[in-house]
Parts: sequence; C-alpha cells; structure tokens
Amino acid sequence: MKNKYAALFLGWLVPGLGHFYAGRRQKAAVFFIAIMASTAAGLVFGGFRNVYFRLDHYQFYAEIGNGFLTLFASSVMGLIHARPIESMTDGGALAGIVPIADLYLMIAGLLNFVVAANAFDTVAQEARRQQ
Amino acid sequence: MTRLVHLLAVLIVVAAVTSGLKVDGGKTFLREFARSTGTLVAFYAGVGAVVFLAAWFLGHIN
Repeated sequence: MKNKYAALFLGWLVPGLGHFYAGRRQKAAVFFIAIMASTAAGLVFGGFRNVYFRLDHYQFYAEIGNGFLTLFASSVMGLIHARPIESMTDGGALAGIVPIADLYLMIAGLLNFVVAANAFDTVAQEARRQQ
Repeated sequence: MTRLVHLLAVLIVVAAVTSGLKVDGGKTFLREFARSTGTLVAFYAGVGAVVFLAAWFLGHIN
C-alpha cells in the first residue's frame, strides 16, 4: 500500500513526483511541466541569485514550496554568488525584472504546495477505497 | 506592457495546474485547460477594467 506522507514529501520535493508515485502519470507530467516552466523563468530572470534564505526575505517562504529546486538554488547558488541580488538592483539594470522573477518563483512554490497536498489526498482516498 | 505579458504567462501556469487538478475521468485536459485560461483571463480583464474605470473616475488617471 502506498504511503500518503511519502506522496506529500515527494510532491513537495519535485513538482508532480507525488502524483507519479500515486500512479497518476499524466497529471504528474502536467504539474511538472507547468511548475518547472515557471520556476525556470523565475530563476533565469533573477540571474540565479534571487532565491536565498533571510528572515526578512518573505519571498522565500513561498518559494520553499518548490522543494529541491529552492533548496538547491538557495544553497549552491548562494555559495557561488555570495551577494544576494537585492544588493545589486538599486537603480541597476535588474531593478525592474527582479520582482517579476520573484513572482514566477512564488507562484510556482505556492502552486506546488497545493499540488503536493492533492497528491497526499489522492493516495489517502485510494487507501480509504481499498479498505 | 511587458509586465502584462508576464502576468499572462503566470495566468497560463495557474490555469494549467488548476485544470490538471480538476481533470479526472472523462474530461480531456486540453479542453479544461482552455476553459480555465479563458475564465482567468476574462476575470482579470474584467477586474482590470473596473479598477481602471474607478481610478479614472476618482481622478488618478488624467
């Protein structure tokens, strides 16, 4: 029997992986493509520097919904690019695009929370039906 | 204008995910996706028009 908590964790870790685990492969593909496209757009527009943890960087709390990608971007990219992007945007060329990059990432993160919760629910419903 | 294009892209992503959540059983994904995108864009256009008219009426737009 499949574990609903595993579906939740996998869905959080990689968009669509929870549904893949639950056996809904077409749904998994839709979620993976849609959320990854938004995440990739956010990372590219932000120059791979706009995902980082700091208590007052409220965007991170939405972006963490992306699981692995957010952890990777905030840890590895944070080590490569020591300075957060906000310190470079005052009047610079990136000043206009960073809020848009954050929008893409935050939307992707929040949507993935919903998708992961749906994967949890899918597995839980199937377990209930089998009983 | 560029920001509107970004907003449209975000709306399409939201529509894809919501229609993916909705589709189960007989409905085809593409039909549901088209319906969701149309609904979201129409809703945002409607809200945008109301906000624009209100701002114009209140004198924020000359």
